[in-house]
Order: sequence, then C-alpha cells, then structure tokens
Amino acid sequence: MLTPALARQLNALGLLAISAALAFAYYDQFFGGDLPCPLCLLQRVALTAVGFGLLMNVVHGPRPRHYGFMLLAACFGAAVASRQVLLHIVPGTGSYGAPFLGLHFYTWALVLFCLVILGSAILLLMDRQFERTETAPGRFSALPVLGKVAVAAIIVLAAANTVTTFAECGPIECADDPTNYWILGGEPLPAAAR
Amino acid sequence: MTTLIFALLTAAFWVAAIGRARPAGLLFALALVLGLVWFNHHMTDPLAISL
Repeated sequence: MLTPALARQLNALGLLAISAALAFAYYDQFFGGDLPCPLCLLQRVALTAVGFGLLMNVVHGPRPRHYGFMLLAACFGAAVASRQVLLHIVPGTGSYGAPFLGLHFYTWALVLFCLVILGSAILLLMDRQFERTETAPGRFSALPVLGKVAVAAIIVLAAANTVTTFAECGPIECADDPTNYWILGGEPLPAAAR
Repeated sequence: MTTLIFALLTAAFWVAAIGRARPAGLLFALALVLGLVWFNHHMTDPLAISL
C-alpha cells in the first residue's frame, strides 16, 4: 500500500537516480572526452525536467499533476532520443559518442524515458498516495534527510548544466558536432584529450 | 538557448523548493515549450528511413 510518506520516499529515490544519470553524463563528458551534441543536451534537458515532477512530489507531496509533469518531460525526452536513434539506425550512417554496455547514450536515454513513462503510469494507479494529510505548503527545510539530499542534488546538477552548456555552446547555438568548448575559443581539443 | 532552458529549470526547482508550486509549474511549462521549439530547430537532417 503506497502511503503519501512512502510515495515521497520513492520519489526521492527516483530523483537520486535521475541525478546519478546526469552525473554519469558529466563523468563521460569530462573523463571520457565526449562533448554532448545539441540533441544530447536536449536529452539532458528532458531528464532534468523529469526531475521536476519528482521534486514536486518530494517537496509538495504526491499529486497526479506532478506525475503529469514527469510524463510530459519523458515524452519530450523519448521524442528527442528516438530522433537521434533514427538518425543512426541505418547501418553505415555512423553514430555519436562511444557506446556504454553495448548501447549508445541516446539509446539508453530512450530506454530510460520509456521506463519513466511506465513507472509513472504504474504509480498513478496507486491512489492512496493522493490522500491529503497536510495542508501547509511544502518547503525544503521541512524535508527529511533523504528528501533534502535528493532535492539539493538535482538543483546543483541543473545549475551545473546551465554553466557547462553555456561554456560549450555560448549564448545561442551549439555546433552539430562540437569539438571544444565555445568559452575556450572553439579550437578542437587535441585528439588525446577527446 | 539550451543554456536558457537549463536556467529556467534550475529556477523552477528553486522556486518549488521554497514552497511556490504554481510559479514553479509555470517556469517548467515555459522550459518545456522552449525545449520543443529548440528540438524543432535542430530537426534539419532528413532521416534515411521510410516512415
């Protein structure tokens, strides 16, 4: 039986999972030398946006519309990831980045967004979580430790992505196949560093 | 533009965390709409598939 308190904890764990995926993308960017392409960045945007619905459930308590936020963001992310999969689906049309466990990141992203859609649909079936037990608006300071850590992690990662995306792309548009950070002048990184 | 979308989402998280659910939802909606616009902007190459 999914109580409101348990639903908040599950959403906090989901938020940590989303943060872990975004952190792994950073690991690949900075230690693997894979600069994210424009569609890759939009998939990060969608993953971050999925985190918004989770954060709302953690801070303000579970509501159907918060799952709606997650579903909208996951559908957007699935569309972007599908587009990138289809760009490379024909053998001989190349790929972007190095594969991880046999699949490229955009394929993993599509799997992840489909799992978010499936998970949200299943959680929406459990309506005991939507029983209102408090009337005060949610606040970060009132959260348990797990909730605080999860909310702080996604805020830090979203802010970090704002900074690093600006560093890579500048104020307007990223290169289709970026080879270096805009803020460093756009000169390609040495092959050994990529 | 992608930077702006991330900035809007960061603001949405922050506003939601301090207890303002409705403004946070509006920031999220704006970020999602801009994301769709920017996705459409980047869909330039034709796909080599039969749909």
